[in-house]
Amino acid sequence: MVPAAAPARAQWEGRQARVVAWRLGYLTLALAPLALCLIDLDPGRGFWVNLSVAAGFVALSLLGLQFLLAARWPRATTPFGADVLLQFHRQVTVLIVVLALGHPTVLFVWDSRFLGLLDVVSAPMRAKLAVLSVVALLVLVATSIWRTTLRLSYPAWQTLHAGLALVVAGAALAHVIMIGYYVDQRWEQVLWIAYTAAFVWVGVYVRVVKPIGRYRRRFRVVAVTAEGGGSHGLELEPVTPAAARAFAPGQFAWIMVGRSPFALTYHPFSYASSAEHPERVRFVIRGIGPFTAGIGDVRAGADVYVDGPWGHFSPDRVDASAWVLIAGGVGITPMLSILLTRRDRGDHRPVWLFQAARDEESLVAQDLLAELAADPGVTVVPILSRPAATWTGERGRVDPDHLRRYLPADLGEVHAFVCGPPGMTDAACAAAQAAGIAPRAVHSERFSMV
Amino acid sequence: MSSHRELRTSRAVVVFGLVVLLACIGWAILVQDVRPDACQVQPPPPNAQYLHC
Repeated sequence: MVPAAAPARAQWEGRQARVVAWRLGYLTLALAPLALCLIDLDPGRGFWVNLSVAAGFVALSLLGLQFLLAARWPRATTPFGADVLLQFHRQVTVLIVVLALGHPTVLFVWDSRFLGLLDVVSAPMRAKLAVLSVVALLVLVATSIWRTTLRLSYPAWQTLHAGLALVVAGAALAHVIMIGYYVDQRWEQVLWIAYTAAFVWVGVYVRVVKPIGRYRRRFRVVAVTAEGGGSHGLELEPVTPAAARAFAPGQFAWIMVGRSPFALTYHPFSYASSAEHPERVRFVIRGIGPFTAGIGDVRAGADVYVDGPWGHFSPDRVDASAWVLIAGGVGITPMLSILLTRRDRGDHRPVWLFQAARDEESLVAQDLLAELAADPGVTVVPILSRPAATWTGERGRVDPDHLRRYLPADLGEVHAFVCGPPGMTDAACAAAQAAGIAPRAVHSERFSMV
Repeated sequence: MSSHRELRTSRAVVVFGLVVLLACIGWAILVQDVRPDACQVQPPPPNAQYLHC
């Protein structure tokens, strides 16, 4: 029986065309300064100086585009998935650093007289601003890579990251305008300022304008329940019917409990409820950090701000004959949504859930899973790495042998969805492929932010 | 082990980076062809620093 089309599935349609359009748009914006400089072009100064200038212009353009990548703008995020954009945002920083450092380095090598501009005491302001921009960029990168080593809290890192990004972009823009070569006409300067300001505005929109809308579409806590394994279920209903948002099973949302919708730090959690009932949503949260540890104390009636849904991790976006779900710890939550949605849609495709945990006490949502496993098409297999001696079920960590014992021989159209701690996810993805599931049919979503 | 999605994204970043670098090199060559070099302009542009004339 073909499952009923969920409202959220419409967002997957036409994805390929949107992906191509966004990629071309991004490339165009990145290289736009080079094209614009060709209008009313100033004389060249030799290949190496021209190359240095090009690197600097494109670095600044890419810096502006980083604000867009980090903005969680649905129109841009949905075709790719939030995880892909986050990875792209991180990895393109390498290119930005190469270009930003390459810009002065080429000049220094071509003419050592440029080295005098590094004397921040006597150098002209345009050079000081360039140094400031590059130093701020390197500090931004270092604090992102080594946040935990530097013992920076996530909210503190977020604030520092945003502030440094503004310094990097602002100082670089001022440097370009003060140099006045290729950007000496008034219209060129206005265009550059407007170009940079547009990207910075995206950040302002995300931090100021969107939270206002989130306040209007807020949710209210209906119940908080203990779910086993140190986890709590948070059941929410929208304050107004318009706040209910369709989502696909497997997706996640950023949520903030109480406080203010303008708070910097929202936390990502997968929906754990059926996508067929967006009027009552549920998240299952394990208490492992300062925010999550207090979930059990949240009272009914508390306001919750929800930014979502996000994510590509959903069976709705693939045509599968059956699903293999592999969950570690609280990675069970998107699987609960997938199973509940399957039930509510009357979907009879087989599904195998391999639930990895340390011991029986760590298993989450056992009552609900037992209820779902009453369906003959659902097989739930707990795999414990350190079970009690009396445990008669599967032992160890998820490996290909575990999967082969339960899965059919023909896995041609079977898709696997893996969610859990990073190491477990890597191993489980490898196990799924070793068991015979095609690499393109193994899906996971990894979200260690920083 | 990176997922299929992660590998695809990393490849996209590498391809994008190569396109950008080639564009910068192409622009550097194009500028020299489209306009006379600053050393051939009399007087040289005042804000063109350290010219190798």
